[in-house]
Amino acid sequence: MADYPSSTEVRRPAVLLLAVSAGKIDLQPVFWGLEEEGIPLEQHEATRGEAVVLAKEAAHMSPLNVGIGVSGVENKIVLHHRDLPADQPLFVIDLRSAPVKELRRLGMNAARLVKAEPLLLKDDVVPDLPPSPRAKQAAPVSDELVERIVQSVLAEMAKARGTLWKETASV
Amino acid sequence: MPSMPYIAGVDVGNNTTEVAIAEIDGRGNPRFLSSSTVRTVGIKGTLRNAMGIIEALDQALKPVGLERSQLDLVLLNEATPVIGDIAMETITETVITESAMIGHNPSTPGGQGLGQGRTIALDQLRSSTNHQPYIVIVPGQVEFKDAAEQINAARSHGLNVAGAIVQKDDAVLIDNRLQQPIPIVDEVRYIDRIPLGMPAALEVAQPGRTIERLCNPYDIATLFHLDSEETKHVVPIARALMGTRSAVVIKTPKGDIEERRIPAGKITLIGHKQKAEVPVDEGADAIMEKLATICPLEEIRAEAGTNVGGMFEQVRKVMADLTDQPVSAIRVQDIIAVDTFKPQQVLGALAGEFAMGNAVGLAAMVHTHKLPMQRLARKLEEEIGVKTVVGGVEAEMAIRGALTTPGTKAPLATLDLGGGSTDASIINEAGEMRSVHLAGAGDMVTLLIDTELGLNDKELAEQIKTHPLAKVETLFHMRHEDGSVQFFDKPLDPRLFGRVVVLGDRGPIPLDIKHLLAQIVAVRQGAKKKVFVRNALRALERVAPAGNIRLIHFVVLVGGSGLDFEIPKMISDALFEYGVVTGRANVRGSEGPRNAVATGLVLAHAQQRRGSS
Repeated sequence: MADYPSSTEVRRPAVLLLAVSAGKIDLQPVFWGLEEEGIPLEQHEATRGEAVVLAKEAAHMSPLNVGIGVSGVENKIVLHHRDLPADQPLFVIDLRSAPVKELRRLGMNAARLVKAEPLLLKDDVVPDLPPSPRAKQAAPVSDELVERIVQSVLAEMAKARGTLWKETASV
Repeated sequence: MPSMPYIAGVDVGNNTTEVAIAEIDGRGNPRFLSSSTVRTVGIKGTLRNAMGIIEALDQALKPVGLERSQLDLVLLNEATPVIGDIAMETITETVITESAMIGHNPSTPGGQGLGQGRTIALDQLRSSTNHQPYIVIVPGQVEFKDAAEQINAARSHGLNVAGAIVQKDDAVLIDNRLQQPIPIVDEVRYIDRIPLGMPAALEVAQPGRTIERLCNPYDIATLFHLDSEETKHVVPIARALMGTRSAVVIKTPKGDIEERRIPAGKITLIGHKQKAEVPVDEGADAIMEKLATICPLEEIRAEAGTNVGGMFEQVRKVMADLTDQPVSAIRVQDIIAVDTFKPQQVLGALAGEFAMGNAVGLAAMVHTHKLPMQRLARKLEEEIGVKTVVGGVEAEMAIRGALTTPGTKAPLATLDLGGGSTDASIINEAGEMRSVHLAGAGDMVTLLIDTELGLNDKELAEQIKTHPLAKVETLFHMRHEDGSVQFFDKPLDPRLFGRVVVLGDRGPIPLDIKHLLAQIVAVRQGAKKKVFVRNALRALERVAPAGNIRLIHFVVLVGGSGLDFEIPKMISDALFEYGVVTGRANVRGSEGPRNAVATGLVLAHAQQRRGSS
């Protein structure tokens, strides 16, 4: 059996992380993510199990209802919530390709799940720094663009003439 | 026996095109068969409307198994030739030319309290021997552990580190690793713009509180030893920092901070005998007060070369094009001004912070003799091969339609809350009608919501205007704005989690803004009150006998905004004070506030038939 505490024990409020064969995996970024958001995380070792199953189990045991499962065998880390169907975890990250940033984000999301704050999603683009107001760059101007502008100005002028002419004619 | 004729009443409005189909029996009584509503195609009164009309006709005919060719007559409304436009006029603007302040709400700042010192880059801390207090700047490439270590080391060497400004979201992580806590502000995007070696003050409030010192100009003056003249200059900073959880103020040598008042132009109100001028930057109340004193109002002009002037020109030009009249013949006949505020990116800000600039929202309205509805009727006739006539003035038709609401009879007033204009009509016992069209309606409410929330998204503002909000609190439930809770069988989209959502027709839309739910509700309701309640009162005053709303006993709301989930209540509340019974129309006992004009057209035509036979 796994050597993590049974669910009847009194536990302090924390997100629970269950890891199997995760000795070589650096889980620090996950901890940092939770720390920055101010939610504690407890790690326990499991002897076997798939990451998704572990995550679900951790969620059930966590007093905060949020669990993380890590498997060094599958190279996966999974974020789960107690109320979600077992086969529908919130996030699954492949550890072989995930940058540190993504692990930290998973930690932050675990904390935000507890705090009911908006999650950080992968496709959220961080807006680029707008140019400094003192260093405004002129947009590159192609000859084609100049040509188009000149054409449209000429067209407008012709139109204006036309209406003017019409007005005078009708007077 | 000849078959009974089928008649279609068509009402082309600013936003929707509505159709009512009826058959007329032998005695000339109409029997309504069906109705439909579609979005108006093109500007009201233009030939492009025909597309929308055909679509609406088809939609109404299909369920009763009729073809367009079976119609005997199409009746088109004599559309009220009014067109409105809206604009936003900014009055004040905060300009900070030297980077001098950071005031923002990172979700997790570190430490708490006030720290004061000179700004210094983290990597210069080691070589410093000075014992004055420092505020450390930590750029994004530094890991939080290194930052904490270096700060701890500096302190053990006797340096006084009073606070830190961090680029990444690391404040809590750094703070937890410090031997002594200091206030830390993080997520400062433009950290490289912070001037070094300058006196700075940094404040972080406890969770659930907002800063107390740096939002007070006298506290800033105390911290930086400012004289009275300089204190005046920091007022916009203090104001911009109000309500944030953390803030930084840096004194720059040539810190040029000012709140600029922008010359917004003047409006000239020309009445029958009087004439008055109001500068737009005196605010909406001043404009509306002046407006109320000039009666009857004949024309409103705006100072050329200013923003208001440009807006007026635009309205007149559109109307001139539409009606084939010279621009000089078009007059602006009504405006409504509304005080509002506009979040503006502060020039020189370091974390993308905003300051609230004051603004005036304006809606203007132009009235001309006739919209080219005849032209549209001919075009429609060509397209569908059915005789099309323009019949009946819109306002009169609306009242006829509204009177089909069960429980109503003349005398009665209608309020048509549309997209472009607010119209009121009244009918007395003798059947005489009077109507008025005023500038400002649904589109202006949308504009106000869009600007005040800083959305820059008209579609989204429209959604916020027309739908209630909710907060998604767990993966399985949301709390509606009235406090009730709704649970779901399936987990909600993680993108909605923890967010305020608009309950749109196609499901909840997450809002990517930092406002609290209650703030968004306040903006939405404020915008509706400012435009609709004010305009309802203004419009009814104009049509009421002796200008006294108390002499009107029944008011029915027609038009799309009558369907809104809170506007009818707001107007009802406002009119209750005058002892007026207010309610939403229920045209023909089935259509709600919609279809009044289309129904009225059919009724008027049937009456004509009865009269002539």
